[in-house]
Amino acid sequence: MSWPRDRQVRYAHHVLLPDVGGRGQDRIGAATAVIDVDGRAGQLAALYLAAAGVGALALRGGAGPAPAQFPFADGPPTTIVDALAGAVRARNPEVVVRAAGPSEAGEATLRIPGDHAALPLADALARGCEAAARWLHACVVDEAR
Amino acid sequence: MAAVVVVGAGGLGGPIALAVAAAGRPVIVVDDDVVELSNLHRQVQFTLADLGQPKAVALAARAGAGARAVVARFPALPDDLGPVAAIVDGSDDPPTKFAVAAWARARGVPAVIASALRYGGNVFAAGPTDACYACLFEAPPTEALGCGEAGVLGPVVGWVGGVAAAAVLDRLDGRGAGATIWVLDDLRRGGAARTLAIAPRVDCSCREAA
Repeated sequence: MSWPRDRQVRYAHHVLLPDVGGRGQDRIGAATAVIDVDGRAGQLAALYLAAAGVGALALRGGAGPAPAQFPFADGPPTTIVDALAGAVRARNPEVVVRAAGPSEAGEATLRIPGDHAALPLADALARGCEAAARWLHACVVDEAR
Repeated sequence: MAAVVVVGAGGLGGPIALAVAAAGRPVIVVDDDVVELSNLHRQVQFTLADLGQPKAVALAARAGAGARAVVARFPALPDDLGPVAAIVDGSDDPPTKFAVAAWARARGVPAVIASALRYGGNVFAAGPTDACYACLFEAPPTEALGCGEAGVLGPVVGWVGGVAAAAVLDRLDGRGAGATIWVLDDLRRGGAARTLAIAPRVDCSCREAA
């Protein structure tokens, strides 16, 4: 594993995991997560995937205003996409955040059942992060992804 | 309004404190650690600008005006803590979990104890007269792996933290009774979420005190 020192430190807790290791983390870093971010759980899933080192976030939706209680954004309220992009940049600037293209869709999109803009933060965390964790694990074990 | 004490400002304490604060409850965050780069794969409450800062201070700042930081290692708490409605443990240290549960019982407030490791976790919640944490786990293990030794998949802590935050908010809103544990199974084995009611253990020290 010929990673820069910062990368080794940042992902040390992932590399220790059975199924992940350095190779799995490289797969996470090469992956793009297509996520519906109109709801709060989707927004949190996107943020946790960015922290976990996913290569790119391709966002669906998110043109509306960022929720007043989005505690991960700094600065004045803006659109969901802009707030997420800023939050990701402040935590893991290597992650690319962009709008999903027309060809990136369908079943691969991470869409969280019952997600909506007013979901209480506790519920949004539980649902969004469970979905993000399942996506990440599939990413490291599914050769076809 | 009485505050919720959150012990640990890391992967579990972060989402717990933010969700409790977002629900309008005052929060007291207790932690003596500083933010490190190895935290950022899962502790999304921190940014690169927070590196080197006390975790409790950075988390309380993000949780908003109703949050207060205590830079200390539990149970070293200030005398002017004020009224406490509940305590939640998000530490990565089994003895601390038992100490938090005992502290809650002694003060007559609900306790929620959250744990995460690798691909799963659990959340224990109990009122002050319910079965206690030691009724279930008896005593801290003599050897236990933490996230620093065994690893943890980043979003797992948000998953467990969200369940823990919902559990304490339910208790404070008068929902939920009796000791309960939510077991979030290892994702590699399906990751089922199971809810179990915990009865008191007859020879637990909490029964002698009751």
